[in-house]
Amino acid sequence: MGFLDHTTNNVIIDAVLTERGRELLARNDGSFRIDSFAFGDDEIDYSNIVKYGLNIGKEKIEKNTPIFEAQTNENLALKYNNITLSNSNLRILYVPTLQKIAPAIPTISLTLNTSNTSVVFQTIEVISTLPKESGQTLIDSNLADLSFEVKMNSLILSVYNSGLADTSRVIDEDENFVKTYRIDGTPSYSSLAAPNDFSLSNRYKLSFDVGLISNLNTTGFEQFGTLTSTTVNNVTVLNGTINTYIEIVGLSSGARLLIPVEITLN
Amino acid sequence: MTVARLKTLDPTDRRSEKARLNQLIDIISSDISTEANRRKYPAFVSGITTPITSSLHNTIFDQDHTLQSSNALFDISFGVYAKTQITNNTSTITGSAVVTELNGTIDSAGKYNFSNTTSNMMREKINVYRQYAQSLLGDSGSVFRSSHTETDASTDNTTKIQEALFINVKRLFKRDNIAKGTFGMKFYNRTGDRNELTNDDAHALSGTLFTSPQTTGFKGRSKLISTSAEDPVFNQVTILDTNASTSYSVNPVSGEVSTLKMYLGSALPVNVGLIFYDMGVIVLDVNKIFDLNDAVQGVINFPDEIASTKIFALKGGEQSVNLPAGQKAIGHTTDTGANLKKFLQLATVDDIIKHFCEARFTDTSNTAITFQNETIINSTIFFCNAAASDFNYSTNPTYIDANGKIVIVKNITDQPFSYITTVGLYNNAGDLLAVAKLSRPIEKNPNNQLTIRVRLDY
Repeated sequence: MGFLDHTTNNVIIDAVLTERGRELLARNDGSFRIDSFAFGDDEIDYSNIVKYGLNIGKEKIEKNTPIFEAQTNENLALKYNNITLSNSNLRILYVPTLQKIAPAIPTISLTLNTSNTSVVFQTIEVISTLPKESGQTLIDSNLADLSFEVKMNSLILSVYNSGLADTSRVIDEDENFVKTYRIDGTPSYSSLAAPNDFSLSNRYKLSFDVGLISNLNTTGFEQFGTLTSTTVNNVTVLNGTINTYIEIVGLSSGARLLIPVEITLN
Repeated sequence: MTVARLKTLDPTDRRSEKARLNQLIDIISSDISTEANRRKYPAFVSGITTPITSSLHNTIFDQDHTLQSSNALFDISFGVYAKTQITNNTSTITGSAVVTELNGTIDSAGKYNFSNTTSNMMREKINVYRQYAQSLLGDSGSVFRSSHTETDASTDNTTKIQEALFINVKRLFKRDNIAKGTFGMKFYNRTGDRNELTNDDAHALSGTLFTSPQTTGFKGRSKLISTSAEDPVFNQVTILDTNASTSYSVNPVSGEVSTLKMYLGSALPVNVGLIFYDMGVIVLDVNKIFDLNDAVQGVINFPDEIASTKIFALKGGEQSVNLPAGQKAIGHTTDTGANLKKFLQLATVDDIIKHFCEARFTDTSNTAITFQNETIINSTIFFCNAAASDFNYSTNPTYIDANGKIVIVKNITDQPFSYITTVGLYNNAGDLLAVAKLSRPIEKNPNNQLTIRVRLDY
């Protein structure tokens, strides 16, 4: 009895359809056609390399990293991509990351005013960039995020365009009502405010408005957050909070950014 | 647009193939014999003063069919063969002795009429047979024959299946088809001995028709072996589709079909039915798997039957039982000629199925029916090829530090690497359509190239 040859690079693995895959297959309109592939490393903790050094760190990763079964939700199935540079000879020390440049505060705050039904929204600006200390003046063309995917709970939030809920840029809504918008970036080569105050080619900026859906009410606060009532002088006041996230993914680089959003009921 | 995270698959990077997946299915005896597992569909009503109802088929479940967790195993029904023969402008009913002995008439519209005192549901039993014949043989007037090599044109009357028990395996267990050469079935081919039944009302009412063959002393007797051996195990018959993997026919109406053979002890096997693999239907010749002349005894449902008192001969002597209206006794002391043929004439389809399930199968966890099913799996294999320069970096948040610097390399001259645990398959709109996971992380660096073969089954 021999050992399996672990040096082989040919392995065969079974794939499962995602919910999106099943949806497109059911449409029977040709939209289900597998055209490309991507690799991901969702389970890997590369900090093992820092903690244990290169050799032992690799061994820790290879031997002590159990792999989860496949998820069928397309938003959860493959989160962190392996990426390829345009120049095969190029070596880099920095990969693009997404940075929120507006609003300046870490958490987006939105308020639902039950006595005022006008839509409240907030403009969010994110850039796909390299840090200044990288010393680079160019993002590899493969990693240039000309477009971004923006994901959020559509039972609470929506992207707005010219004051109206944006439906034209929705590309998916999964079983959990997480809507994915695909929004083009705009070139942002010139220097920005610190720490991005340097010139960097292929740097793209995403700008969009996010707001509460028009029919969000106290039930939404009960479902997704907290809702309390206090009575002062026979007047009952409802207070509520929902904490959620907006996820932004650079379409080319695969870089991700989670932006916390706090919604308060006033 | 060039995208760092996706790589386009070339046409040569995909290949389609077909495979068969087999599953072994075991149906245990108690699943069949338990009354709660049988779902009835009362579609037939007959009678005026004390009407009765019956199904045209029952469904056997793996547990009480009213439970949500139950799974339907198979449907079961009974049919008899009959056809109109016109000789010298005179129409007569020919076919199974179960039908012809009733001396039925044919009206001007071609409808059969039978006496409502000597038969029950005869038209329905004939129609069940005709429906199966139409689906499986292509002609509702055709007769099943107990060898797949024979056609309707055969003149051999001994191979006709004129009283048929039909078993339709449910799609959940049949899948695409039953695998040839894997079918087996075990049951008692004769009813037990009434002289072994103890004297009480319950045994008198159930009689030999509905008493489990495992009842103490109630031993099934042999048909194929002429001696009256009374070993209950010895009297179990086995039905197999012997040699079916190499000996079968392909019928354009119903697909692959082969012959079922019945084995008992050292006796030579007897052809007793057909198995239609693609349709998932088993057709058993009741006259061969049982014995139409077998004496039977018990109480069945019968429309407009008045209440009466009947006496049955049991182990300790005669037992008198009171029957309510709507129930008929057969095989009592003044009905000595009652046999299985008469039962098939008088009984509803529900009672015939009840007899088959309760008097031929024991309430044990022994396997009663076994087969392998087949699922045909169409697969596309995608060859996800990562060249030496591909996928050597990662967007994993642990791949970089707070400043965005890659943590796994110190200098620009260091060789980058990443690990692969997941493969995503995308359409040209960037939708993630399918996902596959590796069993362990695989390192990717500029010094290696790898091909991961991803199989997607349909």
